[in-house]
Amino acid sequence: MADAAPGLTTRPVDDPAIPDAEALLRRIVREWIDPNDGTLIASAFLDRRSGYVSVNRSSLTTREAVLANTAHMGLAALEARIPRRLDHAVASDPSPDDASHALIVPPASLDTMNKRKAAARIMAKSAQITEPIPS
Amino acid sequence: MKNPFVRRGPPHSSAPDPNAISANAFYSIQPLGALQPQAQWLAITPYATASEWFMDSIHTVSRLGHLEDGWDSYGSPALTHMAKARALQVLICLERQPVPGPHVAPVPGGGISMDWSSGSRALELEVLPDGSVEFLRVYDSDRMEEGLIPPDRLDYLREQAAWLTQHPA
Repeated sequence: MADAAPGLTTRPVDDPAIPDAEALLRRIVREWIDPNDGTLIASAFLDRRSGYVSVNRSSLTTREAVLANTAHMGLAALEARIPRRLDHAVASDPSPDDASHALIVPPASLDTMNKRKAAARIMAKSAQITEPIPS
Repeated sequence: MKNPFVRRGPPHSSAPDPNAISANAFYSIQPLGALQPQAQWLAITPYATASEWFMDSIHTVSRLGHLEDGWDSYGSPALTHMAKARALQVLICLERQPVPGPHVAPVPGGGISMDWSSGSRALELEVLPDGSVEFLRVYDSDRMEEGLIPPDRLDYLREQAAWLTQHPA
């Protein structure tokens, strides 16, 4: 299985320093918006490489910084409490050029890949689109 | 299988083709032996009578197939050949089913999702990068079940479509 976060050799663990109320920011593409109700679809919170979903901690960055150099993308915000309620970890994963980077990590019990869509859908429907896709 | 679409145009010989529907009829021919040898995945869909949602979905899959590496800004690879081919197979399989049109979207990692909604039910089919297909059924917005559709069980796929449109009284 490929690793979505190069350099990680062990499963990231939940970081209690990230409060439940902190908004986790994720860039979104137009196709992830459900045309029926304007909410996100599960694909926005899936990654079929490692299963870890990249986000940015809103307390350590800005919307503008997250969207820098990414034309035609929008932004969604998800409170950290949502993945935690689904037994996912919210792990800090800072890089030298991005201190705000974090990961949403599914529990090992969902490592069989066909058991992640329900949680991804719940996260997607709970997220708020804070920056619409530029037209 | 570089191009799953074959245009059936006017015959090159002077003899008319007795099997031709019209000179401009289009067919998609999916000889799926390169992916799975099962005969169930062989399908021929006459484009002249194909539904609008089917044509739109085929075009969307084709468009998504041109996404480049990094399309999601998080380093996702482009959609895999296996995922694109299997997505086309799924659409062809369901073309004659009484379902509404799906919302087709790319999935980080190289897959494709197809989402349907009908009343209080929703169905998500996801083609993974390796070509396997998973489903998620949603009842009344909060009850869900998910699983894998075996590659040799086309009937499971149609069963999912039938479930979507069967509304309890």
